[in-house]
Amino acid sequence: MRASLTPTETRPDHTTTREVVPSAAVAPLPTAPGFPERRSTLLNLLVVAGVIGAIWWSAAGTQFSLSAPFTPENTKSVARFVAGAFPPNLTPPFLLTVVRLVVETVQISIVGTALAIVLAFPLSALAMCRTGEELSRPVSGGVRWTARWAAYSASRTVLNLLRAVPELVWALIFVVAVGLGPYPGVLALAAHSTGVLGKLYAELFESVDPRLVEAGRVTGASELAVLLFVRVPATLPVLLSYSLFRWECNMRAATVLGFVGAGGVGTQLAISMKLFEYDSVLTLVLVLLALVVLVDFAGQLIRARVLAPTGGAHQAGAAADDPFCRPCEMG
Amino acid sequence: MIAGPVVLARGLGKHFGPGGQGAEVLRGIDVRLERGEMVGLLGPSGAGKTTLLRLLNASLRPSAGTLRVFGEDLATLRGSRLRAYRRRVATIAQQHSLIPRASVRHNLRLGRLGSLQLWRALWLAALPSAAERQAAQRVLADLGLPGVLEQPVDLLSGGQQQRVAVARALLQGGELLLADEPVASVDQETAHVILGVLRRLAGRGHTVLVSLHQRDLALRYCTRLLALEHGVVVYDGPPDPAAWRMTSPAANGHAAAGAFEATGGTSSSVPASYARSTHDHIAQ
Repeated sequence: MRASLTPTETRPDHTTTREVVPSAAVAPLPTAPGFPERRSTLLNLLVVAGVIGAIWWSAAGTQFSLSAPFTPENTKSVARFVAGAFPPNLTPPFLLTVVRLVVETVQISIVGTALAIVLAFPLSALAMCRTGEELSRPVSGGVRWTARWAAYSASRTVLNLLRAVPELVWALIFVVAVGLGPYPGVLALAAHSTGVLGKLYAELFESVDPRLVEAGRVTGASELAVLLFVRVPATLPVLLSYSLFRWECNMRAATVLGFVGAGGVGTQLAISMKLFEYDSVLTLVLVLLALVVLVDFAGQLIRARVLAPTGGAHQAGAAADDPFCRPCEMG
Repeated sequence: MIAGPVVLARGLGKHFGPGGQGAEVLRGIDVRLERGEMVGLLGPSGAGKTTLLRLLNASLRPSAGTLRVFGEDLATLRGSRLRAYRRRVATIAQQHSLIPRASVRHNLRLGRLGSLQLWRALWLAALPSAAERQAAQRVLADLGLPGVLEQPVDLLSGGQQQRVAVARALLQGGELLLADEPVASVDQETAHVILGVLRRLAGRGHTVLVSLHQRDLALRYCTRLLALEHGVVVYDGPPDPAAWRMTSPAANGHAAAGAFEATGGTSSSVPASYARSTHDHIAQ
């Protein structure tokens, strides 16, 4: 942890100077246990051969070929696509549709992420190990312990299930359940993101410095109060940063939800592809590129602001308070 | 209010590790603390001072002997009774007990987290109350720290943060106050302010147990001294330098004795934290 940085470490310096230093001056420092001079060459060769073999085997299984794109037949269809794509479709009615769909995509990602944050928080609270001192832990076997264990296992299972199924598969399921349109898209993003954020939140809450948690508990606060007033404020910048990153991911995921009829700009992309309107496809791809770059940029700006040092910490000599180190230090 | 002693430990011991097989940190501790006492807990690092304090605030469970505080047996406390007990015991942790980016106000409110209803605490987080502000500012002013209420804690110097931690414990208002080296990272002047506040608290009938490294401060402020070495009590008596000097070296080996002599605060063995706190002081 931060052992080297603790300012108030008051290990008795004098004992060090009186006893350890003289003996250290006489006795030679123990040499570090080194690696053997030569490592097995045969083993290295076997590992390399294994890796190459795995790649070869997978390439064969997927019919991968370097020459396939350049067969006359394929070059012809690529040429047809490129010729059809230029110039991109910039007719006003089509652009209007695109703008409408882009707005819908952004809306899907926003509602989906918000829903995921709201659902992930209680699930993560249940899926969290209570770290810290021994007296607050329920005795194993009791009623409280059994209830706690059941809630923990159930929430972990739910989070794993939500996370294991990709957004697009969730979209397929929800299209069947609630019909076509952006609504199943929102549910699909919310479902998968709840799984991801729930796990991340739970791990963040567990990683809070146990001394900080103990300081909250010894005032007589309940576990819920400690969660809300110690664990959340202590991890707030990282919580926000993770949630924001999830929104970026959802933004990208929302662009393909339309392929299965779950709304957003993907709807038009699938239609244009099927109708061989490559000029429209190019317009859509360019718009998607712009959108992703924009979201990336916005995310970077907000994150920089959220994680920015409050300033002055360095003058106070608190070098350990570099906010960019905090997420790693908590791990 | 309470007839008997505030703290009564008999044969108290603590092991760490699975099944109590690990390191023995405390053994055979017999201690009795009365109301209004300010007891200085002394001893070299690793003597078991922090462990004793953590046993008293019910963070750790005793592995041997009995420990009764306010007449409650701490070995059997659980659930709501545990929380009710903890509300009566305020702790000043040595460090890392403040939330760095949160404001001083938020950190101070944590002291009352046990006694506030959850909805009330949430309400206060959104809409600060004037009463809370006044109470907080009064305590901060007592500690020589006015005008920092809205600042994030990581903007403050180490010594200022330590005083915020003290203020938080004072706002909790427990009858027993445990302080783990509250003056380890502050300059001499601040140390006097903090210990003066604790002493006044003891004068008003609270019980204060404070672990210290500086012998002169312990002699000056405490009504009684309790010295630990290697997990056993080697001195329990009045803050009388002569009596204490007689006990300590004789009771234990040379290393421990050396540790005691040097904590006298001579300039040769000033710990690194002092150089730093002087720095803080100038910066202020």
